[in-house]
Amino acid sequence: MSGYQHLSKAGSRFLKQVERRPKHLVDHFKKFEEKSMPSFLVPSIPRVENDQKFQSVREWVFMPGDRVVITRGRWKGQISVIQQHDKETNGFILDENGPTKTVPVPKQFWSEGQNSHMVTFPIAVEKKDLKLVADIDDPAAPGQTKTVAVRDIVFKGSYFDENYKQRMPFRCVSGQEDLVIPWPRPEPKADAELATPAEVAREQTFWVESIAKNPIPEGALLTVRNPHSKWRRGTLSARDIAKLVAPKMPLTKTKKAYIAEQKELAAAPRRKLTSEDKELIGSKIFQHLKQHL
Amino acid sequence: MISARRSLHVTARAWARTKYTKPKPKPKARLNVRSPMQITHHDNNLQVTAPIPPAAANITTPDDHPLWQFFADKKYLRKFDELDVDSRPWTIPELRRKSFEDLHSLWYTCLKERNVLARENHLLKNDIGSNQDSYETVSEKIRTTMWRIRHVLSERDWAFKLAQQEFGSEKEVFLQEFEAEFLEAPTAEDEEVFEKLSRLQYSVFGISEYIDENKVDRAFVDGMKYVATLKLKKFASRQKEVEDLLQQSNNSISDAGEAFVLFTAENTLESVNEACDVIKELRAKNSSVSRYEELEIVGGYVKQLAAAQDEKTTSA
Repeated sequence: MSGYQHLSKAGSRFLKQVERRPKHLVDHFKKFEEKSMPSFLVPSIPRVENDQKFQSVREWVFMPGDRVVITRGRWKGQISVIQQHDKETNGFILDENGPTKTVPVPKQFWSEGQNSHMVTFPIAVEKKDLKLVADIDDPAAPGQTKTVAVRDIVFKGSYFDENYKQRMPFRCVSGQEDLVIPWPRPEPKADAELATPAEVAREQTFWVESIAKNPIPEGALLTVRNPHSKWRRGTLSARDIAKLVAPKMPLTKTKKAYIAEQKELAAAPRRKLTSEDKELIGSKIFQHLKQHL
Repeated sequence: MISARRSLHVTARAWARTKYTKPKPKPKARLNVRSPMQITHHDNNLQVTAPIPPAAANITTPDDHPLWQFFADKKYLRKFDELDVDSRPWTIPELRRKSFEDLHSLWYTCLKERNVLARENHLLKNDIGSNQDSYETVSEKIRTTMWRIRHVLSERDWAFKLAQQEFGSEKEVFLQEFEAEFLEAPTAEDEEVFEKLSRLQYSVFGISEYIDENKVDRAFVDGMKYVATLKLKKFASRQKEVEDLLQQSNNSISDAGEAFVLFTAENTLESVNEACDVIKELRAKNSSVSRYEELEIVGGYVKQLAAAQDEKTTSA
């Protein structure tokens, strides 16, 4: 495969065909994938498709640093701390108290200092098998706390979290929503290379000073916006309009005849109700009423 | 030369030189021989040396080589953990606060970083043969910043154009209001009020305080006339001569030359008085600037003034 996919889209259609697997064969492929992959690479819980991957904090619910209790399987009842998110499987990797598996690793994959084929890896755990563990005030013994597992969590409102440097929802206990369980403090990170210091980013250097002088130099305008772009609103050419408006259907013979008839009727002079007509109508009604009443 | 006795059969042979005949005698050594312009290699001055093995160590690249701009810390490829994956793109509200110069430099910073990342991504895909998108992910974030910069500038331009349209109808009223306020202010507040006027001339007519920054156009000349009239009105109440001039010119200065004299005068009574004298002289000479030539002539004046100022600063 050539390495120019990042520059050109040539042939990308066919690559997409290969990537798009028919739905009924997905499980079939997965089986072979598991068989052909070395056991230390096979995830313990199924991988998820790209559109199913968790994106936000609300979806993850637990963040690295949270204490959780495992509710199912061999490690049921074990309390451990979340180490990291496993983005491939939407799972959580726990610390040494969590579930692990010991698998053989071929020698070419050995890391430095390794002296055995058997390596113990942590296993990812699904969200539904975990419950959050929190310390709350003990009503029975005032001034002391007790450790509880939270059955369900709801999110209410949001605030700006200094540690995460983003808006985070309040994590509340379902059924007792005044009980907020704070998010764990993430490991502090130094500003990365491309980051701009906050005070520099917030400093205002643009002021509207004149209505007669464009704040943008004239030479720069062409690189900012294409003035002849066909996507500009309000500039529809006759061709565009012709494309947008549906063609007029030709009239059928019947329709044409009907229209002609209507025209004729409209052109004809309006009949006026003469006193004779009125008398005739009156007599008819009188006759009718006389017969029926 | 040709002997008569032996005749042709001897002389013809002597004259026709073939390879069997005697060689032509060497010419005399020339005295004025110039040294060669170019010295070329010949077999006799070439030497066999030890072969130079091709190695990176044999190539020295200067530290300021322009192609280093395509490398991060002069590294062939950065490792994935050296990449900045945590930083987010600039948001539109953040960019709205930044001046054109700031945005311009930010654009080029982004562009340079993206060049580095594109090079690394290309090598990763081709030289190493990986299908990881780590470099591309960072690059996409930077690209987001870049389209946002263009968006903000475009937005600014639209805002300017629309504001200009809207202001067209309200300009007269605004200027009248300003004039009333300007003339009402007491003498003690002169400095403050004239500072206000200089801000107004930049905001409404685009006339910069620094004379060499200005481009003379219709707005400039109109602004100049407005400011000149205002100055005259301001000092009319303080001196009789100024008031006379104001009345003579129907309460407004419409000649560009006169306006220029008043406009460049300092905001003191003496300077305005001097300017008034100059204007009177001009009128006496009957010299005025035609409305059709205003822009050119005022442009010339502004250039002269800028050059004079330039000279002053360089000599000082």
